[in-house]
Amino acid sequence: MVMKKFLNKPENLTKELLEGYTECYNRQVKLATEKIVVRAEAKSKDKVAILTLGGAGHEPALSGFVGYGMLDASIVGDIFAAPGGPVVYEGLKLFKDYAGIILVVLNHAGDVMNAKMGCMMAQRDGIKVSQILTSDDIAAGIDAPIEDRRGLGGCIPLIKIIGAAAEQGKSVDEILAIGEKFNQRMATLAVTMKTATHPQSGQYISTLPDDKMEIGMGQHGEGGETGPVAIKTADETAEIMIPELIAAVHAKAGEKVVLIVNGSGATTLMEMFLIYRKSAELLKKAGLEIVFGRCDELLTVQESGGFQLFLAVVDDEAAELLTEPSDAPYWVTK
Amino acid sequence: MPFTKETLRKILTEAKEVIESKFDYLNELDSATGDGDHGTAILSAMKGAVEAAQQDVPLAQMFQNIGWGVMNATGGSTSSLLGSFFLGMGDAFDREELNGLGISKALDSGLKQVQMMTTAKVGDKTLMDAMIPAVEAARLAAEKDPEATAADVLAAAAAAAAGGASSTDQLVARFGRAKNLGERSVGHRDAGAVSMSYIFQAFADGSRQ
Repeated sequence: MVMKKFLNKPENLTKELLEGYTECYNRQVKLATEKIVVRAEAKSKDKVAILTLGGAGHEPALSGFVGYGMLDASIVGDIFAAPGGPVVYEGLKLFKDYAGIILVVLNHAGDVMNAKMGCMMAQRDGIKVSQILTSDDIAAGIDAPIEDRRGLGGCIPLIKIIGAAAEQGKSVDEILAIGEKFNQRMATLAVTMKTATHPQSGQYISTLPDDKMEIGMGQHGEGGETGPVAIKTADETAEIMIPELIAAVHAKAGEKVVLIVNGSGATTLMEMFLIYRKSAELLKKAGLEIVFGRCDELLTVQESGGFQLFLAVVDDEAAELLTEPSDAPYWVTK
Repeated sequence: MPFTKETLRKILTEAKEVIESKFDYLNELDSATGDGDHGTAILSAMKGAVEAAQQDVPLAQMFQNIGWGVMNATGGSTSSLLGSFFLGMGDAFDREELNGLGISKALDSGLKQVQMMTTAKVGDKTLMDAMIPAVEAARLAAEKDPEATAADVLAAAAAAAAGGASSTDQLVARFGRAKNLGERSVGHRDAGAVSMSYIFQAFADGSRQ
């Protein structure tokens, strides 16, 4: 099948995109191995290293967030597929002499299993690794058990927060506490208008009729809980999604929140701003104070049309860490 | 005919060829409920397996090398599940030739290793719907006839794996990316269970010749 994408050989896709990315931002990042992206200048070993793993094809996630104040390394798999256990192990080994290692794992079967396999292998070398599992997706219902909640874009603000904490020289336990606190009160809901094709196989990742959208789709465009519904306006869409997010994070009037509209790849910033406008209005109406907001493409799904709407309740410490300096190519804060 | 290193090499090459010929079909199956790349993942895995089997080492070590080869060659859940299966098979024996009982014990050990990675059971619409019945059928065949050859036992395993793969048509997905489709996953065959059944079929065919 002919794909309208600028590609070379499918089997070299991940390698080539990482080469281009690290070449483009060579002041901040470099390749440690073919599929492990690290900082151009490593942080000092008396600090805790923050790592993550995940499939490619979601650019700028996750390697776009390697840099000062965020990740020390991103261990990359193939398109949409977690790296194998031995690759995870290779990545962990690079940081064995650090004050500690925290591995951020998004809740997807392959990611969780390969992280486990990599950690088991590291353990045999005496390398201790702590994990933070993110499962911010609320498509399965806000009371759904953790195993039914996927890890979506919420890992990125979480990485920003714990990355800043690690930079301050905090211990593994302190960073885990900050991370888990944020993790427990964050939620993401995705909506898809147009599905994407897999850039290696050319297969559609599920299908959606032209006149339909679907709330609750995963970040690979895999099906949501509700099934397709008629296309709604930006305001109507925000009005459906925001109350669910507020309920999921148990946000109460007077609390501080973070609001992020994360575009999936084909949705314009213009549309994202419309969604943000209505979402912010609804949050303020609920008595919530937005201390940090962003509209951007952070974690995409190829040419998928839609966005992930992210809400988290934060305390003063997390709010401050979010605005600490970072030079990660896709989250620069001065 | 006993099961030897030569048998294993031949089987893996055949399994890789079968999967190569079904590459698009497997991606299509996965596209219906997952993210459309199972064919890609399992083909890389089998290429890694074939390559890892070229080294001349004892049979048990060869199984373990294949496990590592699979995990190195591919990612996603295929990596740790199929990798663990071969890794576990190599833990069960230290002989150079396996009869029916020997291969059934190896399969059992492989399954145990996989179950350290996932809690998926029969009925959850994953590759376990092929793997668990196959290992079970191999065990029953070996218990029933202590004289059974590796080929006899693997034939029973292959039949059970094929049955298990077709049973996934009517199942609701409870694991992996298809899980979030819930009832809408019914009517689609699980790609992982199908490729697992091809691998078991290659084991059966390759050990008979």
